[in-house]
Amino acid sequence: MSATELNTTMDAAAGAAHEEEDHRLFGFVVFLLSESVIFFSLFVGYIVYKTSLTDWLPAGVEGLEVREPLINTIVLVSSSFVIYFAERFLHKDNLWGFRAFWLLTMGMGSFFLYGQAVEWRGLSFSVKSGVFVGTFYLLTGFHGLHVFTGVLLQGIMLGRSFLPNNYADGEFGVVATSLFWHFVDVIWIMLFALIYLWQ
Amino acid sequence: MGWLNLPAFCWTVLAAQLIQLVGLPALTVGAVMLLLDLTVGTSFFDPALGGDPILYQHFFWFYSHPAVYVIILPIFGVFSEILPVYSRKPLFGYPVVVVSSMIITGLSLIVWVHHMFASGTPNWMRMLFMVTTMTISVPTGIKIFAWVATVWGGKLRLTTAMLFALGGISMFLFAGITGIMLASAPFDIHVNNTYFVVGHFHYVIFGAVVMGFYAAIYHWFPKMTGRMYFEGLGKVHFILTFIGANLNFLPMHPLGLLGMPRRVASYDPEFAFLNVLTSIGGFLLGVSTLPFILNMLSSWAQGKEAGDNPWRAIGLEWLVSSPPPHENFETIPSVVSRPYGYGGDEPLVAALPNGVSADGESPE
Repeated sequence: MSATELNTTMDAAAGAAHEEEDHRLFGFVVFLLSESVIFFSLFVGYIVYKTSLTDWLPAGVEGLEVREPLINTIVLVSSSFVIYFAERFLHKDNLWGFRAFWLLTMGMGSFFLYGQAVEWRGLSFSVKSGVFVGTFYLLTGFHGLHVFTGVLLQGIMLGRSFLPNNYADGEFGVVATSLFWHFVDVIWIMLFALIYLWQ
Repeated sequence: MGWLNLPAFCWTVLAAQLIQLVGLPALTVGAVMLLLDLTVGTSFFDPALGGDPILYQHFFWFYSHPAVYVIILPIFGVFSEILPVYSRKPLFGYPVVVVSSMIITGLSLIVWVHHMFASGTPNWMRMLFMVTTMTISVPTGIKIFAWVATVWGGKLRLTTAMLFALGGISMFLFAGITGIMLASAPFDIHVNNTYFVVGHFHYVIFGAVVMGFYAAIYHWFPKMTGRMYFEGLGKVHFILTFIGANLNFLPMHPLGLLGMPRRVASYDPEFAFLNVLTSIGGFLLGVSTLPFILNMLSSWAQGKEAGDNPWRAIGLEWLVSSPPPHENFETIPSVVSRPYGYGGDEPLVAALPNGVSADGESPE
């Protein structure tokens, strides 16, 4: 192999290595895309049921209480800004600032889950009382599972921030967790509008 | 490698996986809701408790119609790979063939209700999905024309792989024509739940997909094993398969038009003759696998050495040894020209790995 040929192939190899550098975030976005189709299907199912069924609410139920869920919504939506600031701190290498805001996000996420649990406990209907109740538990439960996963991921990321050289290989874990959190947040806004506001 | 240097097969696999990504979650949702109905006692799909079973059909078909394209798109890619090699011509209209795959991906997500024309579907929905379904015949028609134009005037070599590809395309054309018939709502309701539908689907899945599978196996067998298969046995396999498949599935169409319902164990005596033909075709298909299995096993064990590029094909896989070494290339080759450069003298890759000639062809 001549010297020029060798150079060309080495350039090609270097180019390829560069291309392979970070496809993880792309993969994560693809995952979120697939997730949004799941939620989208659930939303469409909800809309179809709500617009086509005659006895929508179970007997004796007037509708859902909006006040506490609204507080929950405000907390969850605000936590999206808090996690953004946490990320900014990490970018500026302010680790303790990152940890503080990150922990605050976790706290707000946990508050949301607690609020959801309180709401579920106080409901007067069970999962067997008709289609509305089924969709309600399915949507809020599936979303709650995502919030729970988000808080878990945040816990792992917080723990890993104490490892030496954790960010030598980039901040993919933090970026992905934060992206997931924004996703869960946007889904909740749609869900809140569909279930609580549109009654 | 730029996007338009990708072989058509890679494009079709991408198109199929995009469908998986967007379509499959809907089936997941339907399955989860069904599971909750069966276990914890919700009533999503139970009409007695206010649920809506039709919604389950929507969730099911939203994925399961595109699933057919997931199966067949890679086979379209196989046809696009094989025809140029044995016709010694570039794939006709390569960029258009690529675009048509992506159009099929897009359209496949908005045709599912044609499976539900007889499910009490409102008329506006039937009309809408009749139109979208018929639209799908445009990109698939583009592909068929491109394949025919590729073969047209070429220097044909009728190897087993090429025979299976041509047989597969002709059966797919037939399946496409009955497909357009079924897309029409009045006709579909007429033959709903009859053997016409069964015949159509078998022409798609056996005629196009299985024949395409065989074509791919024969075409890449020397690359996978490093040995040649026996051409004579391969041709016997093709003839038995082609006759068996048509004898098996063609009579299903008149049976369906005569009114024989699907999903029943027995049939009226008036349908006996055509059903016997179908059975003979089925046994013929069964027999046809024997020369195939014999050919594959004996060729793998003691076939002639194949060499790197027995078909004088152009493509990255033909630049490495057969079977390919681990990790294929020591350095990643950079592809500089369109695929299927038959009849031209552009090199496929910039830096040649292991001293292979640029176009993979020996000078004539």
